[in-house]
Amino acid sequence: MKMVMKMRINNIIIKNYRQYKEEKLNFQNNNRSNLNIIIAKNGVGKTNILNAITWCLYDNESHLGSDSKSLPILNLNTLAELEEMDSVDVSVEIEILLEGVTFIVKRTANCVKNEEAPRGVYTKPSNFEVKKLFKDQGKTPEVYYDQEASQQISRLLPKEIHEYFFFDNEQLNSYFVENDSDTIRSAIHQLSQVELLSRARRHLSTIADEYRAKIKRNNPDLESKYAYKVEYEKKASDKKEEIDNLKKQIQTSKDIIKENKTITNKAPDIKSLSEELNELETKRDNLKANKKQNLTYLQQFIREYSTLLRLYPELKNTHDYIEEKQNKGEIPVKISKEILEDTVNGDTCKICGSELSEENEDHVKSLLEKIKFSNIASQKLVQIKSDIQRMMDKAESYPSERDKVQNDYQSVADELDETERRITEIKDTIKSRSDSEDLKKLLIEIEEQEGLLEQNRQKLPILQAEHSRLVEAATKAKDEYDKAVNKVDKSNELNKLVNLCEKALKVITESENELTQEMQQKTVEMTYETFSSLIWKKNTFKEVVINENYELDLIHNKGYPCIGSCSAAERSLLALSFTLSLHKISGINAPLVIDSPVGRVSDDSRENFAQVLANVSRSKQIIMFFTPSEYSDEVKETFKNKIGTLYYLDMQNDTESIIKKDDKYV
Amino acid sequence: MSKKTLFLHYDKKKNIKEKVDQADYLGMSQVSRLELFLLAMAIGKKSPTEVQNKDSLVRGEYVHKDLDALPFIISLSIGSNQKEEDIDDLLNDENLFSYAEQCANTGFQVIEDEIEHYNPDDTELEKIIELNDIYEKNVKQ
Repeated sequence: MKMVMKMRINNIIIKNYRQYKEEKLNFQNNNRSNLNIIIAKNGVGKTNILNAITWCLYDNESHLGSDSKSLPILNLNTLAELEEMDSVDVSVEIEILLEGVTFIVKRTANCVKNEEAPRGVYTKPSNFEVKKLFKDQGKTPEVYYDQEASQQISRLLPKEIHEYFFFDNEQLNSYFVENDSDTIRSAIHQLSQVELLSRARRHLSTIADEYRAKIKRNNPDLESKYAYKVEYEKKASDKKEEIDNLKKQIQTSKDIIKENKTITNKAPDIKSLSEELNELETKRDNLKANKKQNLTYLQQFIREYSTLLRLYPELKNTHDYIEEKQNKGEIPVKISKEILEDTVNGDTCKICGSELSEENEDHVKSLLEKIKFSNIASQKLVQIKSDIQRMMDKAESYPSERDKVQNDYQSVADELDETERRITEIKDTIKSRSDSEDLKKLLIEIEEQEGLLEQNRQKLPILQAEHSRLVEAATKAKDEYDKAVNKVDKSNELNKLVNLCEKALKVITESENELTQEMQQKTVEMTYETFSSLIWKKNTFKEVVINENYELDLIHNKGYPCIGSCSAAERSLLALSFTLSLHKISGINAPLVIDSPVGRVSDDSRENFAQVLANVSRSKQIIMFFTPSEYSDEVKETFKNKIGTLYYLDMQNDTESIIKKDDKYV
Repeated sequence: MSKKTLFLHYDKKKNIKEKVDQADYLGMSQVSRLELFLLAMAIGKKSPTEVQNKDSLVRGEYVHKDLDALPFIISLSIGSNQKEEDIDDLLNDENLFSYAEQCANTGFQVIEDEIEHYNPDDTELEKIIELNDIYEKNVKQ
């Protein structure tokens, strides 16, 4: 494992960026932990601080909502103060401290007011600068610009895995329930540092394909096999594109729902109903996951008992048969039937070695008639008897097991029905109470997007299954084509080159797989180690597993996978553990910046989860954004005496936010 | 010497595993081939049919490793063909597997028919009712 270096963000200076005209956030250490908190109501600009960080580091505002997307990056008040064609700089500067070196990272974009430009402003490509100041006064500071500056950041906080440093609560909650195995796959891939090998593999594949195309042109009979291979590869690639688009649609629906809710939740006439609705929707999501899990148990029960009950008569007959033979002393056999047969067929006794007289031969023959079982058969019967007894006991317990599994399923299904009924009721009430047309439109849009989201979520696993089948078919078609190519002319020069490429590809692919698997194993082990050290429910979970599709699951102590039935707090903790293990493995002890860490966590688990974050902050800087309601008394109590800095964001006016220090939250 | 691979025959055009995966009938897309095989074997136990165009489905070593598989397969043979003089032959892996394959072959056809008439909303309830009947008939009496 690499040596872990501690990294912290000292301060962030934001100028003319979105809601912020000119603000500075200083993050201080506390003796006991490294916890920094920013509190703001929804819509004030918490998430845009997260965007300011990713914009500064990567020129990418990863968490931009659609309302912000429609606005220029330049602060609207600053824009209003400008004359046409006047220009001003937008900048974000972050000071990062790492092992005695201070990195001052600054991105600046010059904006020109121009009414003809989109959103009334023309934004020039940004300039990027990284200054390195050394603790050792004698060492000259180093300054890097643009591409070189990006390379510096790439070593510090690699862009490819930045979502494991800067993320929001939706990511934490949905990490392992959105079939988002691509995220996991990509993180492990990045950490394994196999990209170089992957590039070599892709390049060699292209070269091999070119040689194959030449062979095909020289051998027209390969045409159909080649066409078949290309057809399936294309189908698989199209399906993958369809899956990616569907994932984007799912994300868009989630963004629209989230943004609309931010607005509707604030409407005074429906505020309390909206809050209840949000809680019920979280409950509904958890119940849906539980129902799915219980359906899996029910189906497993049906399959198991379908076999067991049908074969019960045979099991019983066999059990009785073995018992009867045991009672008669026929099994286990005392003399080997095989030895007696050999003795009769030969001239000497196979036990004592003496010559066999006629009398002895008759005796052995009579013994042989009495022994009905060979050694192997006798052993098999004796060995399976206790298993058969266990299986019969299980079959006899069918009624009680059936009631248990059916009741578990039905009670969750009933609770889900009731929750859904109440959700519909609240939605209807909200609609009838909303007097503004805009609000109604937003509510209707939320409903439409929720329907679409549900449809798409159901469609996703089907498309993924189809994709796997097409990939399998494409691999098969490729194998057949390759076999045909090899048959054409083994001495052919082109074939030799293809074979060489293939051998090299095989070695590269194997190395790639080995490295990734090793990293995969290390990641799950460390995730479980972190998870079990942080989880408040001890002795409940046995291990973390990852399957070949990179889907992570948590195994309950009783042996069944249980991620679907975990609470949002437990799921968030698993995601956090996964993230922390990636930090450890990569050797990058980066700060964690989390927007609304307890946003999806139910009230009774918030304290537990807050405690976990406080524990983590002892060894790592954490910067978190809360709404006032999320920052409850229990959370406040948990963080007491552990906070380095606490800021409160407020609206200066409709378009501008300011940063305050506010003692009422401490 | 035990036979290494357990063979199951089915028409390639009637690829049962693929059909089960596509329909996800009773969550079977997630089950092992051995579990699927044992279920088919239990369903088809009364009318074994000869398997054509054999293709391998489960390796013999998995049958021996599984706690339930061998007791099921042995009981199927002994429970339905108890003849003292044949017992050694019956318990030979090759014969055990061959008879199990024939039963499963019939069972797969039944599962395939069920998939064709599969209604995701009612299947579990229907199956529980069916299991209640089997329990009454096979176990309780």
